[in-house]
Amino acid sequence: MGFQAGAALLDACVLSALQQGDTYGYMLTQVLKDILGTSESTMYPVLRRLQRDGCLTTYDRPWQGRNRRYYAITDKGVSQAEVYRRDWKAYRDNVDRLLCGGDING
Amino acid sequence: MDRKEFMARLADRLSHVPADEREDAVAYYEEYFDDAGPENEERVIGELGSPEKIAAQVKADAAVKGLRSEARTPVKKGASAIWLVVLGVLALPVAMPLAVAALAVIFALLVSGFAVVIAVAASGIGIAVGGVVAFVAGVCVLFASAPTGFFYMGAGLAAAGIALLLGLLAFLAAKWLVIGVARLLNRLRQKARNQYENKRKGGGGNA
Repeated sequence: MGFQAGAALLDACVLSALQQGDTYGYMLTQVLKDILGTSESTMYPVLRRLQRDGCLTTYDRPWQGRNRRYYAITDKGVSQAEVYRRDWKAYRDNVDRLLCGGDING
Repeated sequence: MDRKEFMARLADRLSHVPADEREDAVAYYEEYFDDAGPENEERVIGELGSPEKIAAQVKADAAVKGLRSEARTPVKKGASAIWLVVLGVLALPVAMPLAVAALAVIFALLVSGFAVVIAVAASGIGIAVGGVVAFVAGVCVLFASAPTGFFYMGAGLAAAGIALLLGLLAFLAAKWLVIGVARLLNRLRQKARNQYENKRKGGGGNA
C-alpha cells in the first residue's frame, strides 16, 4: 500500500482494537497488519509508548505452559481513542473532499 | 539465522539499555515467536528484519523515556543554573571592568561623532557669515572698482554655496547618528525584555 500509517493513526488503531477486547502482541500485530499493512516490527514501540502514556496496561496469563502478556485499554486510553476518532473523521472528510469530491472550497 | 540466533543477537545489541527495557523487549519477542509458532519462524524473522533494527527501535524508545523523566526532574537544571551563577560571580572582577570599558568606548565614539557634526555645522555657519560679508563688501566697492567688487561678490556667493553643502552634510550626519543611537537603545531594551521573559517562562516551567 502506498499510504503509511503515522504514530497517531497507529495509536488510534491499537486503542480501537483493544476496545473490542484484551489481546496479546502477536494477535494485535496480525490484526494491524491486515488493516494497515504495517510490518511485524511496528507494534512493539507503539505498545510501549501507549503503556508509558497510561493508555493501556498489561497483565500476564498462563497459556500452554508459558506466560502470555495481554494488553488492556485504560480509561485514559478510551478517552484518547475518542479524541482520535473525532480527529480521524475530520481528517478523513477533508481528504475525501479533495480526493473524491473535487470541490476544495466546500 | 534462526530464532535462537536472532534473540541472542538482539540481547547482545541491547546490553547497554537499562535492564528493565531490555528484559521487556526480549520477553516480548520471545512470546512473539512462541505465538507465531515454529512454522512461521522463518517468515517472522524475515519480516522483523535484523536484530540490529529492532534493537535500535528499543534504544530510541528508551532514550525518549529518559528524556521525559529528565524533563520532569528539574534538579539537574537547577544545579547547572547555580554553577552558572557561581561562574558569573567569579568572572565579575574581569567582566565588570571590561563592560565598563566597552560602555566608555561606545560613549566616547558617540561624543566624538556629535563633535564632528557640530564642527562641520559651525564651519558652515562661519563660511556663510564670511560669504555674506564678502558679498556686501563687494557691492560696496563695486562703484569704486568694478573688478574688485565682482570678485568679492563671486567669492561671497561661492562661500554661501559651500556653507549650504556643509550644512546639509551636518544635518544628514546628525540624523544618521540619532537614528543609530535610537536603534541601538531599542535593541538593548528588546534583548533585556526577552531575557526577562525567558527567565520567567523557564521559572514557570520548573515550578
